[in-house]
Amino acid sequence: MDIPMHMTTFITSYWGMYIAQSVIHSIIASVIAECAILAWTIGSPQVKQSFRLMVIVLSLVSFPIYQFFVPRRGDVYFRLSSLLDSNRWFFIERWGSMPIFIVFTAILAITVIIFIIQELFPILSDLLRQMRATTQSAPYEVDSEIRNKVAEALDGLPFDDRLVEIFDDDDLALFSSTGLKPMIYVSTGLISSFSTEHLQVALAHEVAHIQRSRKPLLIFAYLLRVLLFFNPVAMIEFRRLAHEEEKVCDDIAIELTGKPDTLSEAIEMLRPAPEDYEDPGHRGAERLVSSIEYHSHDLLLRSRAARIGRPTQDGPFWGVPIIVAMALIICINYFVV
Amino acid sequence: MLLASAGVVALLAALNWVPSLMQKDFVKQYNSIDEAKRFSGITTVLIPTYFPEGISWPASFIVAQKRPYQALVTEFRETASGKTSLIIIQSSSPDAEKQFQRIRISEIKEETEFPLKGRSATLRTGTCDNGMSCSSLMWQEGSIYHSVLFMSSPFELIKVSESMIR
Repeated sequence: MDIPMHMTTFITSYWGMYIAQSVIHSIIASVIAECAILAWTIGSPQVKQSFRLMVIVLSLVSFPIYQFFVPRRGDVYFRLSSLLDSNRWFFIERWGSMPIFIVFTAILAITVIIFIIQELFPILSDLLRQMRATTQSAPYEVDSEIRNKVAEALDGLPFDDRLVEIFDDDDLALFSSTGLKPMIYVSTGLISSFSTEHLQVALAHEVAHIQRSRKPLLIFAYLLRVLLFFNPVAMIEFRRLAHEEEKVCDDIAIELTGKPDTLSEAIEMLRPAPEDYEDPGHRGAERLVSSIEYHSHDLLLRSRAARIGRPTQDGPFWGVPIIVAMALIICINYFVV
Repeated sequence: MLLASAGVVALLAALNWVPSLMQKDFVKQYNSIDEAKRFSGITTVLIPTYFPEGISWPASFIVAQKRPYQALVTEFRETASGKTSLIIIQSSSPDAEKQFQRIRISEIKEETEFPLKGRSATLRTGTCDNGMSCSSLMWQEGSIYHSVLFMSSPFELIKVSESMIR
């Protein structure tokens, strides 16, 4: 089978090269960022976030910048002397003359599907639900004992208890919304299960999210990630960045309450039980997805609980590793086409 | 950190080398046109029999590939300056020119259809991206696209191109 001409045309086009190089550059950037984190023993989640953001930003902008300064970077002569020419891999034919580019395209297609199902659709449906909720939902009558427990937990935290919405649910649920009118939502199930101290650290964590939303790093990173919707590495890096955000908020919660052990216990209490994810209606792929969700959520909670109490402050010159890593990434990726 | 980066560079270099073990059809530089012709699989490689004065023979640079499409490129230099002056691209893809043209016409002053020994060719004149005035002729012969670019007026270019067709 001859490689279809339109495929060749696409790969050698500006956008074809952009997609291919964005993915390859992000892999290299991710590896170097990880090496830098290990080499400089970086522990602070905030500094790690800077590395993750750097990987996403470089994946997005490096190709157009290289091409702007060296328009001939994509031609055969540059490729002949490059460090890695992606086309040499893409045009290898395997499994009955199928070019490897097809496999690459399949990976990108799966990434796009995951992005739509797991990131875009939930955000859109949540927005829709919020719009409907403001007009339709009737307020839940809160038991005064529950309300008092929340007020007691919020005592000393920089947050108004009128901005905490309690909803009737036996599950342990706690989340916050940011924006002009930030709110914390907490389930009756969580309030009943948690002691006042545990509730305080959990609410402090949500207060930290609201405080952090004034500098919306995550929203900025998400917008960049949306532009790289096809890039699996950008997806992974964005998720790791979001996980680091949880750790940053844990640190702020400890600063606000001074109770690291209580926070660690509260996180342990939030760990899901396996049966929570075992829906008898789930079969095959649904069961697998459910299992992956359970394990990744549990892993995140475990790692958060485990790191609490361990000092993760980096030195004042943490910018140096980022600059060195960035310079190395820019230099190496220039020769990767 | 630097050690890890050196490791990444070494790994990338190895990854660039591996495909040539798996498939030998990728673009490569050759010493002779015959060798490149055999490798590319292009059966009718057209070689000019006329060379303007000052162009040195043999070709200064030859590259060819079989995949993703067949292509053979020959470059000739000016004897006096040693600069590439004549580039001939023969390929099964119309996109080859974009990929293989080391010197491009950056400003087209005129583009016209030109009858080249019974074939319809496109003649372009203008200024190349090296700042010199240049001209190019493109035509199709069977499934192969031919492109000749010369750092000179179109008169010599037409003579060179006509000498390629017997």
